Amino acid sequence: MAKKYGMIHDENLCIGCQACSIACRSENDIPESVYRLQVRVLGPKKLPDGNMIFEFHRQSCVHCENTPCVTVCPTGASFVDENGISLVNTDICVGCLYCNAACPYDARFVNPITHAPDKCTFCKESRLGRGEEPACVSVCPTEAIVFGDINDPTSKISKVLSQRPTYHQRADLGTEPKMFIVPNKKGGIQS
Amino acid sequence: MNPIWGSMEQYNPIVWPWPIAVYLFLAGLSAGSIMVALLVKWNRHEGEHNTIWDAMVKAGAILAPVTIIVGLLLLIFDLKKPFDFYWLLISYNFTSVMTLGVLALFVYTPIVLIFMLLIFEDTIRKVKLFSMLIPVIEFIKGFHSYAKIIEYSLFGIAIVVGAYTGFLLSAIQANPMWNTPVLPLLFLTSGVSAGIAANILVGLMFFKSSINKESIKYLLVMDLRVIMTELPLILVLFVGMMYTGGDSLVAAKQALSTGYWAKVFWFGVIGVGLVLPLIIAFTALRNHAYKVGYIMINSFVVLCGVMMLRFYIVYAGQLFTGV
Amino acid sequence: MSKEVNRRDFLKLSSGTAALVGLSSIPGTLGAISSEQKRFNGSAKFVPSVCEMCTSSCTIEARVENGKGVFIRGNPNDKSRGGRVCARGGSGFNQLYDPMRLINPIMRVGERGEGKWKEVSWDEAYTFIAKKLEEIKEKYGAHTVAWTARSGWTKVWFHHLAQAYGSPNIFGHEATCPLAYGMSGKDIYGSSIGRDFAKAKYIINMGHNVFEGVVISYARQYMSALQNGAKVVTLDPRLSMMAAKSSEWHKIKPGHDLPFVLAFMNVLITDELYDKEFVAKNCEGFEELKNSVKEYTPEAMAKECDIDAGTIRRLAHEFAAAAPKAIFDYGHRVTLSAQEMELRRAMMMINALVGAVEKEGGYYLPKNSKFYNALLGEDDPKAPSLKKPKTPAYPKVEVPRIDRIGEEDCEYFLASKGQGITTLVPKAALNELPGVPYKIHGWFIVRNNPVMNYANLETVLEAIKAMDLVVAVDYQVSDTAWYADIVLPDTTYLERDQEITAGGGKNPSFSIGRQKVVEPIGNSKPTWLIAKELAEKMGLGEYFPWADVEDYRLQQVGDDIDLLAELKLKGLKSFGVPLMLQDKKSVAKFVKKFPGAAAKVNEEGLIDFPKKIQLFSHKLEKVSGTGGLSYNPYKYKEVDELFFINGKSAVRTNGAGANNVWLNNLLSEAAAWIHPNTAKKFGIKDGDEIEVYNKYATQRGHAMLTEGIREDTVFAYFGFGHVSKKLRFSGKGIHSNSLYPSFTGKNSGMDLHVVGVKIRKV
Ligand code: SF4
Ligand code: SF4
Ligand code: SF4
Ligand code: SF4
Repeated sequence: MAKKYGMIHDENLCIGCQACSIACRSENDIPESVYRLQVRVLGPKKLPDGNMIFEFHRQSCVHCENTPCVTVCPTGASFVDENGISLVNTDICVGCLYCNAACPYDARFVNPITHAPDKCTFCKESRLGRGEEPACVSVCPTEAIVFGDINDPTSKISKVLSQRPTYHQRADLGTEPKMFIVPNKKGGIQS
Repeated sequence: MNPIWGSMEQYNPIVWPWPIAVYLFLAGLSAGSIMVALLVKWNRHEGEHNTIWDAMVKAGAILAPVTIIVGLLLLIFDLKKPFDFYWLLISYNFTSVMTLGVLALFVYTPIVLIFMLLIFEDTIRKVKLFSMLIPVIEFIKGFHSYAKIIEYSLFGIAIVVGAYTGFLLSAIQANPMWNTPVLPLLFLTSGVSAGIAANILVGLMFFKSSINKESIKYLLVMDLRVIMTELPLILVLFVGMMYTGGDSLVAAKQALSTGYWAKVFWFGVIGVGLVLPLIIAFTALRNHAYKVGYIMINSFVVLCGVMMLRFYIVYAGQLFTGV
Repeated sequence: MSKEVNRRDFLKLSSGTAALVGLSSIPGTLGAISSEQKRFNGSAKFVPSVCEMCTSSCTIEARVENGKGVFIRGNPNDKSRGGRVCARGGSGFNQLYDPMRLINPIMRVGERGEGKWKEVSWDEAYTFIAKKLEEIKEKYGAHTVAWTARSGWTKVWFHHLAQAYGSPNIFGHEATCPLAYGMSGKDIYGSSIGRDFAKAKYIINMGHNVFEGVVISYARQYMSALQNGAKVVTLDPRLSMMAAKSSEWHKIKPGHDLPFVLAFMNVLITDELYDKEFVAKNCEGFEELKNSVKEYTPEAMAKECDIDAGTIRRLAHEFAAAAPKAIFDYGHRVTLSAQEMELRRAMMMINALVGAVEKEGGYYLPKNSKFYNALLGEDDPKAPSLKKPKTPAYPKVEVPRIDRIGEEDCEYFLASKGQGITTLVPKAALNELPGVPYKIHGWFIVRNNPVMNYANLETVLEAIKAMDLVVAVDYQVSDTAWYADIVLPDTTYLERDQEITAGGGKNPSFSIGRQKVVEPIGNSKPTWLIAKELAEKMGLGEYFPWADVEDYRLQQVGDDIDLLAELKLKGLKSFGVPLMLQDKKSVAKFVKKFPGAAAKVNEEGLIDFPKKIQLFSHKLEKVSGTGGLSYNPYKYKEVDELFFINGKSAVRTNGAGANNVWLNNLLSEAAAWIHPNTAKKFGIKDGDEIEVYNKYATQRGHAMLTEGIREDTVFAYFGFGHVSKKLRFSGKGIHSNSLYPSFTGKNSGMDLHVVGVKIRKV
């Protein structure tokens, strides 16, 4: 059976430290001015009970199951590989940015070197082939990111998915992201 | 919290900037003006020379190819990889509206060019510089038995092109203002109104013609009708967004009320584009002041309005997504 | 003889293939080169090493990827860090081709701080320094040159050189950072203290923000504790990342942590929540402690610390109930109080009071080879111990150090000589300190940054200007290097080998130190080589009887070549099994592994502390009458001022982050956190440019309005507002240390990081 790669970002475990962002840059040779990944620390948000928390929003491609970016691409440069990873073939991309406009997750940016859209690739080109986990996953100090094959019931990601409640960003769009988010519940009880 | 995650520059919501708005305007205008030219040709033209009708056909014949070519050039140079644009012609994705648009334009552009050659046959024969075009014209005229069919299909493709500019945007689900079936209709209609206005303007300016009260009145009324269909379409667009609720509702509210683009909408799109032409047309009609000046101003104002509509939809559609 | 940098030559030398575009005109620095020209020569396989981006010194591994870059990750053999690395650590390789890094020595040609430099050869640089040092030695004596070096390996070389030269004035950075808790640990437990966060059920955290000032092993442990349902209570004037993740956050008043801790302790004692048996058996001085905290009832202290008495009582009760799986975290860095010594001692004593020491989920004593081996029987295998290469004795020094450490009456006696009170150096340069019959005339600064990190910038600059010689060793023109006479380019850590280190957590451990991942770029040299070559120039070559680091390492391990081989391959090694002296299970496991240790086990199946825990300090009492605990209110600010405090961001904490492009791009300027209500009073809106000012300095920055801070407090991340024009973003943001007073904490010698400021819109 083909693999179906997915990822979990656990807001409870995330501390917004950006180690993931730097590792991605380092491993995938991302030009200085752009980001495949940012973890935005939002807030503080006051909960009804007086608790204050920060929210941690991972800004990157969520690897939609129904990919708006691929649907609109006129040349087929945007595509999904056999393992469910959304990718860009920069050779046949014309740089119309239709995909950028269509992506509801602001995941794509124009790579200043290739001039084509670039985005998180689950480190396919750099690490998956070597049998390594994506760079961001491998460095996260608090192990807030889990990566793996959702089709494999024994994988860590399948286990975590069966144990923890998760949600998708903008689920209303029906894009069915393969990025799952564990909502943040922690927070101090205000005295 | 301090933004510790770096620059947000790449997240500029304006992925498609002004050249796209201008392109959409030009493509719509091209389709509109060829449609108008054809309509006039079929209904009015036979046997009439040096009338405004003749001028409008000529104007359309020249505007349609010029605007679409300028528009396409603009589009290509706005690509991030302009020199790879040929991939658009050799690698297709039939789920992409852009691919469909490319195919439509692939057919449309040569035909409007041919149409231009045929309409300006006399001029071309007179001017030395164009003499190398004569064999082409001769060749095309060999197919004269198909002329009507080609004209009809041109009309059909023009509708496709005009509507496609709307479908291009409406395929984008993430932007509620774009993601509506009204948009193709709206763009087609406003393209036609731009076509009328542009044909009149160019016709009056460059193709000297006698003009009479009747035709002026006719033109003004024609404009009025188109504008009167545009207004409800815009209304439907926003009502639709509000009815959808959620992000769409928020987006609609924001787009109508926040900042620069709300002003563009109320003063530009509605004020200049729709209300002002209505006022001009009505006053002129009521006072029986059928002056050429009125028509020129009216046409110019309509064009401005259509352009602003494209800018507004392109920018506000990207800026206000309700999230 | 200064030569124009010929980077073409340099690049040919360093990489063979690269050519150059964009010649930079700044002498000594690398200058801009295009990305294709950045070639990395080094190992394609992961090489274990140690990070140097902050002082946590995490175990890492790095490999060169296609010659184009270096990927850094945590060393997977290190279970405590799980093979993880933070943003700073991941950015390390970015320093290698940083156009602003130094690759040649530079010498000042204008005034100090004027920024006029010429490039010189290493030989010229050594000659200059050796001559100047000799001059000072003749004129004032060698002891008038102070030597401050970064913690760890750099210290080894330069403290050695300093003492060979004849100066007792050797320092580390500690007095600006963690000194007080180290001293407290020594006083109370006889050593520093480890914290078993992961297994704790209850943690009181007073601004130990390991989720922002990321310490990977701590962050992971705290996170597992939280995941296992532990309760973490954070007291911090600001909603730090730690506060936001905690079960409770209390906005304690800045500078007033001590009254809280004393009241907490008072409750433990008065309500008899402490572990009587443990205290009776393992502690000394309980009665004195009890008397000294009697008056600090929660009711009396509540208004001081701004935490209500009921909460203090509740927390103390909850804490005691959770003990021994309870940790009163004694924190790290920023000085929280004018009474640092009392504060850290009080915090550390709390764990002893509830008996949560040497037990799972509590405190533990770090066990190095010496500690561990002392428990083993004759036939048990022993943990290796590193040898120190033999070197000649240092010349005798007749005068005291400027901090008088080593003298009978010294109030800072708890600091080691290698730590010292480095913040006294500027003061000793300007005036003769009490009991010190000389002034400081020279400062040799190795990878330390007084201009950025010592409280009160003005004093530091005045002192630097008054000196005869200021030498800086750094890989970039740090703020301090900017004021130096001569700057020697250190390599970055990825380019150097360093010696083996030994330490211990629950059992002894060893680390390879650093291993070279890529060949050094330009003419930069590792600190061991700089020290050795300079010593040779000074005629002190006999003090450095090793050819290189490999030779030094061999001398360290003695016959145990296997140890060296294993360390080089894996990066680290531990010996034996984890041991908690007061945990029956752990002791049983230990004895099973080392049967000879059975002799040390008492009838309860535990091992006694090697030394009683001191709840009262006789030595402190004798030297300065501070043996017990007491609270002396301190006026941090005027009534119409706000408190100003600082802290670490997750991406820029230490000098190495200051100029790193990637990290700077993430956080280019740290805004001042201001409560919306306070901002309203001053007519300040979010994002406004503001001035934060007091009698010491005026700093400019931007306001960030947030409810995550007390209304009477302004907060900023430190490490911004750089003075050196050779750093990116110099002058951007608030230089927090310039706002602090010139203060030396009693007994601790520490800076003070709480002060009063005013704010205004620009
Ligand atoms: S590395 Fe992990 S904890 Fe840090 S920001 Fe990324 S996901 Fe969050
Ligand atoms: S920019 Fe490239 S990948 Fe994106 S839609 Fe256009 S051709 Fe496809
Ligand atoms: S997040 Fe955007 S880029 Fe990624 S698969 Fe979905 S639509 Fe495509
Ligand atoms: S999976 Fe790889 S490409 Fe995607 S964000 Fe993580 S490191 Fe970057």
